[in-house]
Amino acid sequence: MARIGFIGLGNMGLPMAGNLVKAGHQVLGFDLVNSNVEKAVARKVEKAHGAADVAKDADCVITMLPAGKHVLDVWGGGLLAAAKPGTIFIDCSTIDVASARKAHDMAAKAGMLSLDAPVSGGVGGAEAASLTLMVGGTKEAFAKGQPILSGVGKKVVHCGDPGAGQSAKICNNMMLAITMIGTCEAFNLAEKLGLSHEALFDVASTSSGQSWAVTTYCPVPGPVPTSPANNHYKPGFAAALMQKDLGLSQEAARSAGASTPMGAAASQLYNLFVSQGHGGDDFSGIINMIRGKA
Amino acid sequence: MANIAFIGLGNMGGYMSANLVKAQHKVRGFDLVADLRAAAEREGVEIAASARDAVKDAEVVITMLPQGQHVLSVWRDIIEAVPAGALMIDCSTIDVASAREAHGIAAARGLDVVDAPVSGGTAGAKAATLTLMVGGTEQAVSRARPILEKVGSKVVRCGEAGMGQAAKICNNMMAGINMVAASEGFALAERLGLSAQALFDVVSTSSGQSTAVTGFCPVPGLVERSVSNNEYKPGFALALMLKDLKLAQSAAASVGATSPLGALAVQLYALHALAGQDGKDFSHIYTMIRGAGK
Repeated sequence: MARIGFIGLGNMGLPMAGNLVKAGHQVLGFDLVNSNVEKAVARKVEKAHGAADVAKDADCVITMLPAGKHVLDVWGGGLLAAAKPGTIFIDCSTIDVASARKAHDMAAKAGMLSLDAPVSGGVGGAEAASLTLMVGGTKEAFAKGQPILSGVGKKVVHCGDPGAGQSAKICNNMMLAITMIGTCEAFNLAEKLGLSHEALFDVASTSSGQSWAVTTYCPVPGPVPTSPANNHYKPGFAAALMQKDLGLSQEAARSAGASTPMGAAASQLYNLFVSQGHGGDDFSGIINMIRGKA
Repeated sequence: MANIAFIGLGNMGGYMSANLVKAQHKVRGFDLVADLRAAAEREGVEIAASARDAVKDAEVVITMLPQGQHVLSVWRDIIEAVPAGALMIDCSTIDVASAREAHGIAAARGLDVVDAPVSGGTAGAKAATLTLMVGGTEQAVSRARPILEKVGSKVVRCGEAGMGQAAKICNNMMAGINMVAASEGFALAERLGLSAQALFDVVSTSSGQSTAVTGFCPVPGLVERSVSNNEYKPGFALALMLKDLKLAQSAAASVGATSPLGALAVQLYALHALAGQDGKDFSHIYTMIRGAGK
């Protein structure tokens, strides 16, 4: 069992740190928000006195933070310096690809192993330890990090070199956002034409229009009983988080010179939806804006 | 076995009428193009002197024509010559408004009528494995079903008059958008240095999944049956996808539905068609999105 330092005990980090304790690891945690630390202590996470403190004597350091600048500030602000050489640093935050690569470089210079390992599955998946982790880094780092990450998720996929985990996550989520808006447009058009949700679902679910957005997460109530549409669009996956991931995808597209006309439109449409006060709705709730009812 | 009049013996109608002959129906056909008449005759279709002549003794009349205007002008021309009690079936993919008008023409003479656009392309037409999306009264659809089952493997009643067309364009709008989403995701991944295989492995079992990825993958080498492995030979031609996307937008405009990504999809496929690629499979849009690649 490993000695793990965990920084960032928010909505996602808290249950993840708790699951690492349950998996038998010794976890030392830190967060700038005291109440988060107290909740972690209730889950048998040990309280650290500062960010750098968690790295001392750790075999593995995990960060789960809001944005790239936080990760770089924390890793560069004494964390890497405090760790013993060969420690594995894992960033589970969803951040921009450029910052992820920069974090890898900083770790390599300090003599550490590193992985970017953003997650999908939301707070529910974090609590149930059923997250999917998309992982970028060297084979050696992956081999070392994989057994630890399997304590917080059920699917740990090595996507490639440093940054590949972040790349896979934003590419997937950009495809998801576009597909979801397209699905919402089609169901709204069907409504206006007098075609029932059930009839469109029956055709689309077994035809060329099929997607996860239709068959697992249908944005209208009825066809898929477990989708958030049946529960007043309570997330699920909040529109504000989708907005964030689309922003990251567009930043990556710009810097890499990729054309993403629909990704750009999807990004703007989620900006619109969130700016109208719906950031806390599930992202499939954008159907209400398409209908003119958000 | 029924006397069937079949008008429109082109790419799709030729195979469909031949399959009705194979199913022991007596098929009298007509097309304006002499070569198509001759080809149908070789398949056992009895050739009539005109559309009016074809419907003379018909119990069932089927039309398979390019656009709404063609369907309406043929139906107006033949309707008085159609025997009382005959069933009218339009298998063309046309705009919802024209489909409803055609229903009105037949209903005014007291005839049962269905709109029954198909999906599955020429391969499906040849193999009699088309999907037929059918709109009309329950009585009309139940009369049409045994006939349609001879040209396709799936016959779905979608609702009343026009709902077959509505289901088809809503489905195809999703398919068209999802294909661009997949193309943008894979193109961005390439620029970021993430392999197509790694992205496919994540997406195919995750929230970004769609049939555009797992059935018709626009990147060669990932899905065996995808036409991207065969120089994007259709499959479903880009020109036909563009036609369906335009029908979706004209339907959206007429009922006041907003469809931002559907509108963008029209423009993107139109750009690619303009570049002379309308004869390729619609998944070839990937090559435009990708550009020269990395």
